[in-house]
Amino acid sequence: MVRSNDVLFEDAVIEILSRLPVKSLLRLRCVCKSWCDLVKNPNFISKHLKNVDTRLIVIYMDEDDGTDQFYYPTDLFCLFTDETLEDLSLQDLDLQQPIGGSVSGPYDGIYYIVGLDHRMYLWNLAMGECRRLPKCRATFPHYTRVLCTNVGFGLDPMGNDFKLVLIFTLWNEKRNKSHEFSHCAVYNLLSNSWRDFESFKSIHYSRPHSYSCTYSDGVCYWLWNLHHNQQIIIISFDMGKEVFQEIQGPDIDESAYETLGLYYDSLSLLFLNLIKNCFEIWVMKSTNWSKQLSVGSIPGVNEPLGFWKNGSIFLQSDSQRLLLYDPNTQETRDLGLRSFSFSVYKYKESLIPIKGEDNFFNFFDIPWHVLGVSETDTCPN
Amino acid sequence: MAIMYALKSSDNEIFEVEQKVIEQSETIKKMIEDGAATGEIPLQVSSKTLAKVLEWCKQRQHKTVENENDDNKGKRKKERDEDDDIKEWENKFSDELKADKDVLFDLLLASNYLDLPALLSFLCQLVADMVAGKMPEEIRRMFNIENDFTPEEEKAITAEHGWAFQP
Repeated sequence: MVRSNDVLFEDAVIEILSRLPVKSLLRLRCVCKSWCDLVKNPNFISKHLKNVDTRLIVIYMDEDDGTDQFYYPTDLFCLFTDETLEDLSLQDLDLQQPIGGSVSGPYDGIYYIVGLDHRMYLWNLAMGECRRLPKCRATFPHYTRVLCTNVGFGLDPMGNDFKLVLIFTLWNEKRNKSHEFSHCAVYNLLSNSWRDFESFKSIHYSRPHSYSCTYSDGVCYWLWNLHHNQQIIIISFDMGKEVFQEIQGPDIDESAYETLGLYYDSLSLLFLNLIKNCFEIWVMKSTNWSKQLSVGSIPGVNEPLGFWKNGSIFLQSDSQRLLLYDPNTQETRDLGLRSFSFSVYKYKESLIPIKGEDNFFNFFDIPWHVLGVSETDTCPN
Repeated sequence: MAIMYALKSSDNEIFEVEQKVIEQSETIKKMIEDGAATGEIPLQVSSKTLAKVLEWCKQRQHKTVENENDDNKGKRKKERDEDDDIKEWENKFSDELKADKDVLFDLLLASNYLDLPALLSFLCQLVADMVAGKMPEEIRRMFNIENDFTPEEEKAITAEHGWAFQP
């Protein structure tokens, strides 16, 4: 067979394998040593992330159908199995452990979870791998608690390692107001360790939007507001240089439901223009904003949710349906879900290895609630 | 009158091809530009494989020419029809290759050698789809790869992600 031209063939094999689902690759590691090494290779992991399909994850609240007298609304995590969304089959996602504080992500296929034990976890959904992070021993002033945490995760292209960034907004319990400064901590995946990072003055910001970040080209972005006039501000963090920066938001009319995301790979803002009653997309190119698209009002639809592929956007109708609008064809599709709140996420399977020292889930296959982890095991406050 | 070139396969068969068709290959384009291609162009590709390469190139050529002649009016509808046609053609092309793995792998090597990125990417996806659901032993046979793990090593790796071996 094709053994005549081994070097050429090796390139072709890398091309072929980088197009396979994670499950196949975990199985095909057994083929031979060189394939096994390839799947762990950081360059291959990046290449695979570029080639693999983007799919849709929706988090929504289930509805009371009146049959359960002890009904309590719960968050449902669902993955649309078909990346083209032609077939609307859903797969329930098992988060593996109860969530205490928050879930953020997915970033390159990785979720950040605060568990019931107040500890932080990273979880690679496709590989079924989970890591309990070492405690983040940040030192805060007395009488302080964490009011909210902004989360960022992504590749540091300079160090060729993944980093988790947390921005803690602190509350002074004695004076009953926010601290003037936010505290930051950075976690490196390779070294499995935390570093405290310089604090920055943040008293003039408010954070009415999602605590998650949008990652693009080595930089994390969060959508904040200026406290005094509610003007939109983007806070960016360069993963390589480890520098925060404040970026002016676009100069827009009165708006609602602002969300930050990637529109054709560029950082963009999607919102409802309350004056003109239309949806607008503004794109940022080297800190300058320009209006990219305006979608005239769609009857019965007021809430934009986020960006999808090929310039499409997700919307929620007043009748609580999840819709996908394609500006190219001007068609709106109902994705078959009903809920009073939706969160939409782009998801890519990834090979980023999460398994590490602190991961006892894979060593003992014991359900979480049996472990009896005590609530006193607190972090980071 | 289109400029024609003669390609000579490794088993000495001659293929007469239009310049525009064969210039999709960066390798041949360079040979023509360098003036190395006077008379017959000898290629390290068998006639069977070369015929497949040219089939692909002609189909691609067709598509680009038609797009150039389009005016914008009514383009969307036409584009969609064209996309359907191309998909149908590609499906037929894939089915033939899936049936003959030797030709498929030879074509993969040829697309690399002739520097035809679109064909290379198409074939890699095709092989990836064929490989995705298979077990390691089937893959070793398919790619002619020797298992260089000891049974203990293999068992350890298998155990690490046992669920990946379930259907």
